[in-house]
Amino acid sequence: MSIDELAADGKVTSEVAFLRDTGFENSYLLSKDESAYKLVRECAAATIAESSIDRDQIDTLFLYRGVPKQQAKDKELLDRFSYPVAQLADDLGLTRVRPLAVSQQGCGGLFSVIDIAQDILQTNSKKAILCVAVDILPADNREVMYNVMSDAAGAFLITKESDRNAIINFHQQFQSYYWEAKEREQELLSAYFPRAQQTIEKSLRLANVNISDVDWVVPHNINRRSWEVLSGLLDISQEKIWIDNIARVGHTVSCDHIINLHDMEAGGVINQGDILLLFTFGFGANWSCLLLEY
Amino acid sequence: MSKKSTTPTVFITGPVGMIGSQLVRLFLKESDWNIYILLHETASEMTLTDILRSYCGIDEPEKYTDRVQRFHGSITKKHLGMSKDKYQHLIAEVTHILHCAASTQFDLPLSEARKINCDGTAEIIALAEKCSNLVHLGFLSTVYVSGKRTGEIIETVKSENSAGFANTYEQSKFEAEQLVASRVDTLPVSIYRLSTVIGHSETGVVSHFTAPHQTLRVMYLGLASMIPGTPEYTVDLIASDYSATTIFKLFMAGASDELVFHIVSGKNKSYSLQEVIDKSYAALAEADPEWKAKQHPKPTIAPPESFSLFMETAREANNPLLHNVLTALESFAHQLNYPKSFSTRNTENVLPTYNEEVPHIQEYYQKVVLYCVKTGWGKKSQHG
Repeated sequence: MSIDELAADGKVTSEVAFLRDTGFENSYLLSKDESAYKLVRECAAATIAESSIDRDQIDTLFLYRGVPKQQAKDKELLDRFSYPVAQLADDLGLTRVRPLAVSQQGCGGLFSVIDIAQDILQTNSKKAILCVAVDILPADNREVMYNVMSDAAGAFLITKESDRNAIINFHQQFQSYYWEAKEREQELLSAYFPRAQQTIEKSLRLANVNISDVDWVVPHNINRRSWEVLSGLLDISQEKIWIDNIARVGHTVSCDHIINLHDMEAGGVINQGDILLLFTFGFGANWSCLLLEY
Repeated sequence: MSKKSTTPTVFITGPVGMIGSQLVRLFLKESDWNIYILLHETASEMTLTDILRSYCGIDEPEKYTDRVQRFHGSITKKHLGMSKDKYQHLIAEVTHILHCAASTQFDLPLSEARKINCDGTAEIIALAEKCSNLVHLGFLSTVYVSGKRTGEIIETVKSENSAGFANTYEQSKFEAEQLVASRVDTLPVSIYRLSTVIGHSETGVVSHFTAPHQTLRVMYLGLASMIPGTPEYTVDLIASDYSATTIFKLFMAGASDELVFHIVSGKNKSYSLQEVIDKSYAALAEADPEWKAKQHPKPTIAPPESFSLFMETAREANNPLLHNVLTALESFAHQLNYPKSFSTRNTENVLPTYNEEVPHIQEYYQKVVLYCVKTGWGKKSQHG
């Protein structure tokens, strides 16, 4: 849906002109014949198919949801133990995988999953971890903190022997004081930039990488204006921030970087050896920076 | 022998202000002068002893009330809004005037700022011109009449400021100085330009909460996201008691050939912007352990363009709280983008040990922060 259509349907609270001025144009809403499970299954299956990995070499299947799914109240108690992550493992024929669902870190949760997966692989004889994420937001509200939101799913493999996207450094900062997102919205908005700057600069420092060495910033698709502000704070050219998908896709809870990296790769934007800086903020609250060498 | 012929009488405007109140105290404690104070009509219900105790910090005000006369009126009104008799009484008795009353708000429309700071000064000059026994007229101003000028600011009144001003307060005080300076040949005038007054160096007491205090409050509320500027910029803050003492000494030294006197801390006695932020967070944590546990991040020091963009976005997003907070931070930082130093040559000529004696901000900043926290920035009793 376009933001004009969203506004006409009362799905956003900010003025259309403001949303457009900050980079948004569209929001993807799940259609009636789609489901969160169907989306995530397609993504996971495609990821496995594109790789040459032996399914038995996948140690863990992580399913991340930033917004926990509401449980239907009229279900039998036993139904509540029918876990989608186990269903997904079963559907994909991942018979020897450890299925594990993770949640409640907002847009930053998938970054945490990457960090945990990396740790697991360092002490594990298996070669890969499959990470999938999906978030479907209520159809009647498509704006969170001045960002136009889309439904999305995504998947990727973390492997020991990958020929791209080598992890250079991962740094994450937490501040659980902000757990009450609505109550502390203004404090969160105020903390966003200082913490973002701190997180990114510390990650670069730990990796001994200069900001000028970064070839591309792969953003979470929040409003473009905030990236313009952050580029000034970090002293990095706005030209290096790949913002093309803010208008086209909008902000998904946790799949922005998967979609952006996919599209950057497909569009020939990134080259081997490029230093990529992935940053995100998640409710909870957490700020995460991941440095990759493509 | 009449009292008039032997004892000077000083007329002080703004006697309950940050500096005016300290000056009243000094005149009572350090001189035998009679003191006339101009109070706003809204203060008519307060007793003189209350005013001397609450605002001027005088423990036994009863001892001094016979030397103080209160006048109710307004500097923005003709003849200060007084009856003919009262005004004539002033003209007949006053030998000295210290004009401290002013609006220090940065965001007033220029017309309103001019009404208080320029028209008010014109009224005081008109009074001074009528006082046949006038010995000295002192005018409190700000070093920030220098506006957007950079580099060393010397103690002279410039006839124009082509660099412009960061806000209407600076401009209106600049224009008020022009009025004062234009009478230099006919009136015994002195201009005392102050830096930003932060609080009492011994007690930490703040009687008027201005931009730096509001910035501190924004930090305390966890709403300080960024401050425009550069980390190493000097933030010149000065203690209220030291400022008042210096003005008092300069004023008592009498009118001289020098018109302007700077009263600042100077770079060596000041924090940099980064230090102000660091020391503020350390002092807030010390003052309130619960606040410390929240771990609010320190504001980042932002390039002006980034700050403006964020502020503009907050405005466009219809987020008035965030926009107001950023406005407060901008008010505090408005001068930091025009780095400058202030010559104190004239002040040192009268007070040779001035620069040695001015206290370093580190000697009292924590006390000021503690006072702000304890009083809820003036919203609750210190003992409450």
